[in-house]
Amino acid sequence: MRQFFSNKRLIVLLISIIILVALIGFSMKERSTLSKPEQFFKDAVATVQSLFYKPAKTVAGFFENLADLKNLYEENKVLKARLDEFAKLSVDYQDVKAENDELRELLDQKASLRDYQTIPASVIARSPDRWNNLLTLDKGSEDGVEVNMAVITPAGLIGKIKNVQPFSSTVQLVSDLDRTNRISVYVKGNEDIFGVINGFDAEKQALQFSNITIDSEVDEGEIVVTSGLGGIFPKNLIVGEIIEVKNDKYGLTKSALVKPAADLYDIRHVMIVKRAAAVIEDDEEEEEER
Amino acid sequence: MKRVYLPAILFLCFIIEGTIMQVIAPENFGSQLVLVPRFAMIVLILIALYVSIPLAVIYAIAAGLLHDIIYTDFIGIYMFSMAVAAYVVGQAAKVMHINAIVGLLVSFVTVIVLDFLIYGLYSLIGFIDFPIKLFLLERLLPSLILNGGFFILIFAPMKKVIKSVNE
Repeated sequence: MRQFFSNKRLIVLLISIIILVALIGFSMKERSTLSKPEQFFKDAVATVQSLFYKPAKTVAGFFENLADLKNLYEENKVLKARLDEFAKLSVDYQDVKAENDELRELLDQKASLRDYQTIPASVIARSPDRWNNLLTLDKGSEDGVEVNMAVITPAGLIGKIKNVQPFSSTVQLVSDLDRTNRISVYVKGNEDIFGVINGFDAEKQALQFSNITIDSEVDEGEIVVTSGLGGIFPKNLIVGEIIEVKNDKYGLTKSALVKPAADLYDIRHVMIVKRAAAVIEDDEEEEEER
Repeated sequence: MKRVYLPAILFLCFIIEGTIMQVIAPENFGSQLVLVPRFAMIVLILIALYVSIPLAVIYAIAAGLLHDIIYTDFIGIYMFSMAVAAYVVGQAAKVMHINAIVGLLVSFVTVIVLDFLIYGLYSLIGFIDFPIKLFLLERLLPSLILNGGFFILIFAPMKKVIKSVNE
């Protein structure tokens, strides 16, 4: 123990701290693409990870199915009742959609903020520490994935694409604590109530929805959806449900806590959303900063 | 041939941390507790105890760098923390005679050192803003139990592997 901090070791320690600071500085600056070696390692490890994650998920899914079996009869009855309702709804939907398309054609409006295509993908890994909420997906730039695309499950928005490699990509979940992780949203049914999601409350497991105008009436239980105004996400992707509303500390704006609609943990298959509406090129730099 | 055993085991543990352990993570079933697997670190500390500290530090730098690239945004945090944890705990445990119980305690200390370094460094650069009480209760404590369990599981087999590598 006497030699614990002898001269040579002290120098090594100091040099390694300098390297640490340099590396953090290098990786903290906004990078649109990762360096080639990083991409290579991510892709190579992703191949191995998919060999582990998918079988593990299949086995886990089998046991979950067994647990579900006992509810099957009840569920089936309810679903059958719903089916009639659905038939009627789908006729209505076709009707409305056709009318909408027609009207849009009249207006000569090609791409709406709502339109998007999806790329299906599977999760193959997740950061083991919960400081980083990153998922690895098995689709990469070869499949048409680009940085900043939204990622959803059928239940709602879960995050956006952070990095893309040729054969895999990394998703930053909405719960990630990174301060550049922001989403422009509004309360469904009332476009006047808008704001940004700019954080995650780890204690309550909910997203922070802030910058709501003070005189707007927000209630618990209302649904929050993306506004499409940030330039990255399409409009009307479900984010979550408001569980708490309060005034912020200066009393100038309101903020709310939003419980994510999608399960941010038990994720297997996701859809990567490709927005149809183009972003105006001049705004590109602003978008990057978001 | 035998010299690839240890890196291979290390890599396997590293992969399991991000894949199989995430499939069975308690959050998937609605729990608040967070189990952070540090399996690679447990293997590293066994290498530090039974093979040599410099080798463990070199492996720790490699494993940490890989962890940084694959699972995080910042390069350097895990690389530094894992190397420091392997070195400091390895040096401190030099004076002790290692058996299963002492080894378990050493692995607890390793995980505590590593997790505190990571928590501290991430807080320092402003990446996270997380109450320390919550960190201790919901993250560190359950993780210690998980990693302690993993240590007990691999202690005897790893000793055999290391013995055959050392020959």
